[in-house]
Amino acid sequence: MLHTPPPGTRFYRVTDRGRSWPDVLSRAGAYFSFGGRYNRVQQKTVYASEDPLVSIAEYAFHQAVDLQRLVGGGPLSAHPPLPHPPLPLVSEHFLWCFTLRNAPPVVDLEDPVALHTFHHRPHEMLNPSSEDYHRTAMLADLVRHHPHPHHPIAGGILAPSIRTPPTPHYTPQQHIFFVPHDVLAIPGTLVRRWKLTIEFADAAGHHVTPATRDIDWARPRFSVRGAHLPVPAFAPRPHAHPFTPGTWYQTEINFA
Amino acid sequence: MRIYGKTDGLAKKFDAAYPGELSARLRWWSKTLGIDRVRLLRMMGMSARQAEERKGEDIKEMLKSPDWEANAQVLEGGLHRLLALFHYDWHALAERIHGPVAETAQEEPSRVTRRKGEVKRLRYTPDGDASDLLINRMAAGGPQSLSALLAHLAASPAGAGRAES
Repeated sequence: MLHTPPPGTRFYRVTDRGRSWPDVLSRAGAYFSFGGRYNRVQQKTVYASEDPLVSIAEYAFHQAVDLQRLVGGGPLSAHPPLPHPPLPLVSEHFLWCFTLRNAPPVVDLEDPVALHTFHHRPHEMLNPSSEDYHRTAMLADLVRHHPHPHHPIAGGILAPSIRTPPTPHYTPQQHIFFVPHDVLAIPGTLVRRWKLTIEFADAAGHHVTPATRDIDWARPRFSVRGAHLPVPAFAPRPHAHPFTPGTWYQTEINFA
Repeated sequence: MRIYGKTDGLAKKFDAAYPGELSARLRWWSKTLGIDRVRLLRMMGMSARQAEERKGEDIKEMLKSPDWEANAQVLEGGLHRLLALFHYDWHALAERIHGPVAETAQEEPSRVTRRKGEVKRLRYTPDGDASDLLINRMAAGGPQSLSALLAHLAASPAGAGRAES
């Protein structure tokens, strides 16, 4: 049930621009300031992944949700309607690669022992809703406070990535690290940072303009730059390849 | 390809302009988006009375309290996320929040006609304070927070915070 990442494990995380390295391991810059699948507002949490594509897909999904909100003008309760998003639907971010000084043990939520211990249902972790996080946040609370006589208290969660499409023999996963209350950030070392551009285009790959009819929300493209080295391939992913700076790649994100 | 250079240029400008320290960041947001001090403190979770009483205090001192610091981090994260959606063009975001587009947007009718006659549209909670509702919604978290944040900013008079910083 408990899994401790080996020393030197490289993690990836996407943040907004304007973030500095100390922000990255303090939860700042996440899409989850307002709470997320495994954290409530004010529960400092760092979402990361060993697979860079998972970090990119998860971030792109939330970018899509926010842009869709602007496209629609917000819920009917919003007065006045939210402004239109600027077009084309291009956004700039940072992709960070780092190691943790002492990666804490994390609870693998799909492990049968964890399922038995915390009494959660496997499909709850794969629920595609991006608004209904009550049950997973409660599950995270249970993990945070679970007393275990033979093991240290878990410092996080290993959970399936919902937004990254799985492939045969490979389950994309996220590490969700809890930032203890008494520290500003989890101690770690920056390995590299790339600038990351994400774009939602139409099905033919053209920029979205005011005249665009269909936006291909499920297949954003992205490009990295700002570092000479490519983003390394994540070996466990079948057919993984490195992401070369200056080259555009298309990925898929799951909405349901 | 020009658009990518433009968005990267705006992001670079933001990288350079954005302060590193939390209280400086809040002052930067106040100035940039025209958020008056009371509204800023309300968005950090203070009651209307608290915000009014503490509006003259040094924000750096205020953030020495872990609770207010945590609340400020949540707010800062939300504002940051909002600006990222607008290509980091803070002038454009401020204009969209306070500018003519928002002001001249066609008002929805305050009364709507239904099959069984005319009924008063329920805007927020009966006799509720719209500002409180938006703040509660922001604090509740989730995707609705962004809408609430934008709506709360839009209610701020243009240029309100600019004189303070």
